[in-house]
Amino acid sequence: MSIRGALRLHGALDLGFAGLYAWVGFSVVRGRSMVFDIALGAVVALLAVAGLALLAGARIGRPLGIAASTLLLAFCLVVVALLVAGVAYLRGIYGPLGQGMAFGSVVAAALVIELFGLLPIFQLRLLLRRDVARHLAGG
Amino acid sequence: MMRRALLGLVVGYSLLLAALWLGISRRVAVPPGTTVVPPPERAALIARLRALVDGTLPPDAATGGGEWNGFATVWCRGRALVRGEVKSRDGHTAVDGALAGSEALRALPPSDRAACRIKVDVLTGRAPIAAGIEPLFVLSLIAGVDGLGLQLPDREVLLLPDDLLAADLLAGHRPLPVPDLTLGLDARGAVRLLALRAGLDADAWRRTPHRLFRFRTESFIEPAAHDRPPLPVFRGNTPGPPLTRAALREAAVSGGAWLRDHQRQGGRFDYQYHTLADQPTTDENDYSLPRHAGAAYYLAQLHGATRDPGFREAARQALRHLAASRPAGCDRPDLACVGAPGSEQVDLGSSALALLAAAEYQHATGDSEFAPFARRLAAFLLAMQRPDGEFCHLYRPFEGLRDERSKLLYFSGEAAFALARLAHLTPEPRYIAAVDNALHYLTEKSNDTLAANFFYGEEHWTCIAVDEAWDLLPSDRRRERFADYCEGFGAFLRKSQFVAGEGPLQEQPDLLGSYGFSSLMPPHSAPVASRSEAMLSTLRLAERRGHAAEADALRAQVLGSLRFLLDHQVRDDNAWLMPDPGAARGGFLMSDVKRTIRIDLIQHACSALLRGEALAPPQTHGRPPPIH
Repeated sequence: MSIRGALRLHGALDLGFAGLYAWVGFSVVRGRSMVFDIALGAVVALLAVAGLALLAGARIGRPLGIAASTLLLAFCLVVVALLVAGVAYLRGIYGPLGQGMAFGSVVAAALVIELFGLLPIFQLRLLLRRDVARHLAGG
Repeated sequence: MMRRALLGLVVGYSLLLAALWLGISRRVAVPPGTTVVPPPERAALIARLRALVDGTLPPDAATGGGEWNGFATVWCRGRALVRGEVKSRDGHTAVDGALAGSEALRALPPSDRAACRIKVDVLTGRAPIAAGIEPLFVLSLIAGVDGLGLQLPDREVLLLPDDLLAADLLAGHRPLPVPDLTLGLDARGAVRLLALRAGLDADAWRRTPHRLFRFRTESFIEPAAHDRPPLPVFRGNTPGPPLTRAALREAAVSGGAWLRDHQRQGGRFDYQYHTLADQPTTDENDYSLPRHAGAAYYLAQLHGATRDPGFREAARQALRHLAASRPAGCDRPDLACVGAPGSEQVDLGSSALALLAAAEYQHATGDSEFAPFARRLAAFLLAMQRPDGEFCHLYRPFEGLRDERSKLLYFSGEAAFALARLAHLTPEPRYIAAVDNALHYLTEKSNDTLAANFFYGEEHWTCIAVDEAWDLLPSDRRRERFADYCEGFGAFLRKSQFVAGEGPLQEQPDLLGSYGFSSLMPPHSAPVASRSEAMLSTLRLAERRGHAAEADALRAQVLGSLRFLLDHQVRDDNAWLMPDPGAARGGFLMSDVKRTIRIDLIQHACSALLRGEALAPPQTHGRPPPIH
């Protein structure tokens, strides 16, 4: 795929994921904390702006995309760490939790990585390439 | 450079996760302990405590071994009447004077005092909990096993596991808006109780530095009849009788006696009975007619096994109540349906289980009083069946309209079972054809989805129906597929049955034989009971088909469940938290931490115990070997 095509694809993915996070966070499992809502709103906004900029092939798209991806990746790592901490807590309380619980935890972690980790990893891999940086700087 | 940084990040993050896992899981674990007070010392201690309570021994005369702290509680009619600290040091056990000098105890007549139970809880370990994070706090205690402690600057306040059970605080959190799904500690209730015990109001609570922790106890109690050594206690329960045929029969009869004794004039039962409050539920709107009919079925079944006229009469009264439960449009010459009088809509399950009870009653007694009612109920069931074999589950009798869309749990399997039971009495081809068609739908057509390749729904009635219908159906490949389905269901259930040697049993050995997804939830009677019924039927199918290996696995599975049920029936020995043990005797609690009896729990559990009688050894010494 050409650099331009790859940037457009990531722009579209950013927009799609921004919509998904907004729908899930503000509608399906709405939080009760205003801090959470503000943080989520900021992530969604940053991702959406980065997506638009990448779609348009704008120079600002690269730093915005890197910032959004770094933020998402950090969020993913924190959530997985909290998940491990939570299951460790239950393991300490209840002893061995059984195969069902272990399987459920792995599925939850996989879901978190799939929802929040894969896109930023691939996007950072793309945006940190020199030829992509040159392409956007030239555009 | 970039790759090295990335590798460092991955390694660092993995180390962080490992450190989190080890650090947290070790910090909050209660260190594994060994037995603190061995059985011979328990007996001596209880005997001395009893003498203290009776005033025949001075407080400092009690002696024991080891070094431990604990509490002795005198439980009278479900209340902790008096509690005193017990400390054992250097072979001398000191007992809090409160125990001997209690005014409340002295005020009791000797016979009442004798009926009280002395229980000892020895503190064996403690660990911190995350009380500040509510979702973790509610899951911070192994329900019924751990106590909750409050550390204040100058003292500690402890809620023993029994205190949490007695205050009904251990199944008080509703994580999802699903009926009957409660899991974990009622955090606010528990904190309120701790504050009350500590004498702190809301302001003082906020101002006083405090820390919550959990603790573990080793507990034992004198038996209700004071005729044996002290009984070990785990999660508010004591060990059940050995698994023998006689014990299973006795338990089945005891459950029937509960239903008989809790039947009101007019045939209705106390639908639910709250054992902690000694209160039946009287809410008219909460009365389930399918479950009432299930209870009538079990009473008839029990009469068939025991020939006890009391059970026959109770079944008859319960059936009369069903026959009288007919809203407008449900009492036609050609058709009858069961529903609350005045209701505009009736469900299939009430009529299906009413038919089952009527057929069982006739089978057990030879009395055909309800035969015409049964025929009209059967006509209703046939009218509710669709050409594909499935049943409509709701009906508007006044308008004569079936609801073609709504689907409810259990009803189709119940209808198939009821028709099969009737067909044994009246082998009319239309009943047999309806059963065949229904089972074809339930075991094949309704499972023609991707998800059905991985999961089974609640199929207990279906497999009981397959067993019941087996001799009526043509012995062809189609009938074999019904049985294949049930054997598959059995294998699926075995994956969720707790068996000896599994990790979760390390902390909660009483999970053995029950079914569950994880050890976060204490075992519940209802799924064990209904699945035992279904697996008994599946075992019969496997035996008929000569599937020896499958039959062996099913036998072990059922014996494990029967062992569990026998352990969890309310007996005088495990009823010290109940104000009226006699009113609860024979019942089954929702779980050890949700101490309500409901009529369907008794029906499912006792039907399984009765039907499983032949599987148990005539007599046994000690507990049976572990299953599987």
